[in-house]
Amino acid sequence: MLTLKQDHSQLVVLSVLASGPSYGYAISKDIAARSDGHFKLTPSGMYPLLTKLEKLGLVTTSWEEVKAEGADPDSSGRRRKWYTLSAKGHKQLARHIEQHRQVQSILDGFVSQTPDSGFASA
Amino acid sequence: MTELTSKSKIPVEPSSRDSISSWLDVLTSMLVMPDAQRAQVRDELEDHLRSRVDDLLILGKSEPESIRIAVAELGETAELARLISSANKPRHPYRRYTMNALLIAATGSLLALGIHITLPSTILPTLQTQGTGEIVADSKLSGIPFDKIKVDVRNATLGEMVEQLQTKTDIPLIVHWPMFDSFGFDRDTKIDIDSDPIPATLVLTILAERTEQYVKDSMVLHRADDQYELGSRSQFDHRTIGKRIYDLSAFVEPTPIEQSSTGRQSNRATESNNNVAKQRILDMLTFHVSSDDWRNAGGELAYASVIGNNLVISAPSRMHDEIKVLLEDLIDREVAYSKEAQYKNQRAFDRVEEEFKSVRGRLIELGERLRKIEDERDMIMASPFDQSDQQAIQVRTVHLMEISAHLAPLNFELKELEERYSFLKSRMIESQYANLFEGLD
Repeated sequence: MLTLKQDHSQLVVLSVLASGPSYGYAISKDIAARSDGHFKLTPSGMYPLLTKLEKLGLVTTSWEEVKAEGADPDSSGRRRKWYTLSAKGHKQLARHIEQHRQVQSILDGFVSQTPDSGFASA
Repeated sequence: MTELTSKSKIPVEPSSRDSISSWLDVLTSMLVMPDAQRAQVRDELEDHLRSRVDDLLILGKSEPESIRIAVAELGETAELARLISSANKPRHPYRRYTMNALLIAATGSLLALGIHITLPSTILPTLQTQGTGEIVADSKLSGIPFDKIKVDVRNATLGEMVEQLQTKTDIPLIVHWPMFDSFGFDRDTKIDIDSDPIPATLVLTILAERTEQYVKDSMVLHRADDQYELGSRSQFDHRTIGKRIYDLSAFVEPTPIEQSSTGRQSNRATESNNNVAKQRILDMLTFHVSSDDWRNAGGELAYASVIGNNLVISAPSRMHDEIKVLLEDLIDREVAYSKEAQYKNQRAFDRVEEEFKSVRGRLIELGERLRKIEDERDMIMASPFDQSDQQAIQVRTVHLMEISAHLAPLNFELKELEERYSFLKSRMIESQYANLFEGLD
């Protein structure tokens, strides 16, 4: 299990939200599921990050009332905060992806010259 | 935020509401933020905890165990509270814009009334030009005591406050009222401060703090040539984005021009240290100057790259102004530190040189003494004597032994002095070598 660093966290969370609106716990589950359990974004990393994304206008938020199975229909449930990627967030995600690809491409240049790939080492 | 009307179904109603609620009580008591935000954080974390507990119950864990695991996964309570509080903290208030809010209001009124008033010369000194055109009204520098102009804000609107100010200050401006929509400000905005007349600057500070708590934008008075405009900070930020190159050579060590046998290695070490120094400057700027606006922090306004000893920054003029001040201050300190270090080095060099001279003097003196004693010994050795005269032989032998006994510690002292002399000489040569390159650089 790898704990996500801040730079990657933003890319990952924005990517998750690009698939559609989500809420904190579901985002953390989605990250674990999509990375086959390799990535973990801890709540102490995720909630401050979500707040920051909201402040930067990269996500918009809304609240929903949710109720437990079998609960009294007239009783009040708990409140769930939903996050939706904004237009600015989509642009930011595109930039992140572009940067990621550039870095990936540069790293590939190094990796492809290792002895394992058939090139002689210096 | 909008309230969604749909109501999702979640699997299980947790019965141990109290233990989760107790934990949430503790956490929320540690949060540093307004009550409304605190309640929202509590709601969000409660949803997280109960969702997690539901999942763990489905996996077959007992309820107490599920709650224990869910709470433990949130991490150390105080640290979580600190991180969330920090993320919710309002941006640093742009105090220098608060006076601009006053001017916005004043101008709004002028435009609303269709009045154009010639700028009185007494107002001009209150506007201090910064960078490429942004201006900041600074009551401390002005001839007009803005902070002493009191306005009656009880049940007043911004427009009404403006009318009060209008009688005291007249400024011709273009106001971009639509740009303030995101702040929720307009002429009819209630100031909502229940107080006797208070300084206008205080009103504007309060308004700015309220605004910046929820949005990252603020109100700015902008000057381009002789034109004054009031708009949003983001509006003028985009307009004033420009590139500037900052010289970082004051923060790096010079690389030696020539390379000795170990020079390449020391060059690499110097370059490595310099790269670290340049990165630290960059980190410092992106942390202290409008941190959210840099692209690597998710912002859109500023971008920096290091090329050689130059820092190329694309940013709005207000950020350039802050960067310039910070770097100039740092360079001043760096120069002062460098001078102090140079002074200390010079003092150290002077001490070495002084000792070197003293050791050299003692060496010369000792050498002369040794030569005299050796000459005496050689003279004794060369002097003819009667080998049958036992007494003469004894006197000669004792004399030679005395000379040898005298020579031994002197030779020892000579050896020590020579070693010290060599050491001091090499230190001086090194210093001179370093000074030579400093001179060349």
